[in-house]
Amino acid sequence: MRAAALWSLLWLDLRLAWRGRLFAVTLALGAVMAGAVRIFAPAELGGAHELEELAAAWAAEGGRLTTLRPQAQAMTLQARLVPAVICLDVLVVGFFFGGVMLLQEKALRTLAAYRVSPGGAGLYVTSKVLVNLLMALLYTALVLVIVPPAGASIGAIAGVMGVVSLGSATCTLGGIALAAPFRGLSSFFYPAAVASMVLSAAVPAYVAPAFATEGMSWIRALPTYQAFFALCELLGPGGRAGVLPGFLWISGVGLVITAALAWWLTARRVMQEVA
Amino acid sequence: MRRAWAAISAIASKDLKVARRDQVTTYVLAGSLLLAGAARLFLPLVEGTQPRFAVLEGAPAALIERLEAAGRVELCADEAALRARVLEQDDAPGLMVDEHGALALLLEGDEAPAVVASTMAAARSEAATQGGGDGPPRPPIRAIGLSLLLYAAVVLVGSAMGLGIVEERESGAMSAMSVTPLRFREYVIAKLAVSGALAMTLGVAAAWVAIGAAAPLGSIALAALGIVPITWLFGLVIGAAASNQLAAMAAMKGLMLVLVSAPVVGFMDLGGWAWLLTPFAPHWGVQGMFAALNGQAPWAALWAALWAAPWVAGLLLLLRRRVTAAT
Repeated sequence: MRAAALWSLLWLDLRLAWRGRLFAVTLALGAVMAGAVRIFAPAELGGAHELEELAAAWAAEGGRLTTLRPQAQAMTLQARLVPAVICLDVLVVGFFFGGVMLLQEKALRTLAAYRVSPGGAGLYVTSKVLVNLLMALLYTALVLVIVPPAGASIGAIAGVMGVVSLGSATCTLGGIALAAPFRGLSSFFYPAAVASMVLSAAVPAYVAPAFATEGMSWIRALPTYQAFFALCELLGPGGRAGVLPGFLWISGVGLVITAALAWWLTARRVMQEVA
Repeated sequence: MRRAWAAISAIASKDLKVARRDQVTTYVLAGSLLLAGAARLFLPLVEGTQPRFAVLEGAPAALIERLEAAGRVELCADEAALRARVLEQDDAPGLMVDEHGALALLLEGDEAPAVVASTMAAARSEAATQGGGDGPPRPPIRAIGLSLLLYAAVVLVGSAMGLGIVEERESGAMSAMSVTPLRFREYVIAKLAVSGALAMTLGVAAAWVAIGAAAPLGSIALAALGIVPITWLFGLVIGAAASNQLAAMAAMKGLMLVLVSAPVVGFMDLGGWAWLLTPFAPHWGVQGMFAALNGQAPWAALWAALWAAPWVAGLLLLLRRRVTAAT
């Protein structure tokens, strides 16, 4: 019974997302961004020769140079940009979608009709999460087809899909929780834009890790920051301890909190106000 | 003329009332000023970020002194702690004197050559990267960050205008307006005037919050004026292309790629490819704001207005067709 209800809701949400061109725009953007990375970002290592010269000069002066994670050098700019392309869409922009779907249904008064059906807040929220999850996974698969990660195993690709799923679910639920008190998209847009800008503070920290120090270390607690480095770990050379557990810990806690908030606000506020 | 003015002010007044009722104005102001406040708080920290060195306790005092002249030194109790520190994500190289008395440099492996070179130079007591060094000049992070923020504060107001049009279409208000004497040009002028005035005000207010009384507010206002057509472009794309809120989100997502990437790419060294950015109004808008923040004339913002104007005109025609079709 509940599975049938979830399936009906899911089908409705998929059709709405399709009609609103969310799938088309998301996949087109994925193709454009991944294509740009494939064409413009160098797939060869830069600076290796310069490092060799520096090491030789250091040794000539009696110094010793030890590289603790030599495989870390093997990540090209192209490979480093793939986690950024995935994270920006799935997490930073994806944050909006759950909220927008809810607000669209408020505007169309679909929610008023749903209120008198046997479905509850849990099914309603789950359906939104699954639609966004599908979109996130399709987007990620498209990016990985256009810029195939060199040497990544099937297990690593599965791990990427796992990171994307966890991140997408957390951000969709966060978006729903944030959107619940608002009347429409125009009033929701600014708070969501501010939240997205905070989430995107992980971008400069990914490009230059020293950015997340000196009073900016709060960036390390963002799920986007953890996701950037978790994807880098899975698609890159690997070997950096604590990255994946760090992502699982922060995103796991984030998922539980956002799920509880999204369900509670949908059940206690959204469903009540349209009754 | 008098009738047109009455119609324009009626629509503008209605938009302001709706924005106040839905607290859109509050969120627009609060969101932008909050980000400006955060920029004021955090950008000096980012700009003042120093290179970090992890050093094993017991290293020669002269070495620590030399490294402290170039950045911040973190002492580690033993070699395991030193290695763990080097493996953290912030590119802090490690230094220790090994059992043979040689100076050992510990790297993670993904440090940029410039980081390695500056660490070696600091350890050797050569001209360090900080103060008086002959290394590459540090990028003006604060001015870049502020110009992007002020550009965003001005342009994002377009979302309120675009989403307002979408909501009018969804709620049937547009159909109701079609049976009044209101003309399309009066409707559009009211929308553009309200969003333009709000965008200008917000740009200047955000600059004042982010910089304080020292902000060159006149130049910033001129730069914001040049960016306002991009605000309109943003709003009109949403208003003309989207039939509902989901489609509006899709339109915003598509447009964000150009609105965000062109200004960011404009600060990169593109060599002979820089001309490719010429037709991108967002690039010129941010460059204009960057010039204003550096005390120069924001001529680039004029280019932003010129490049955005044909798009705005085309979108107005499209919106007119959509409005006519909808009513």
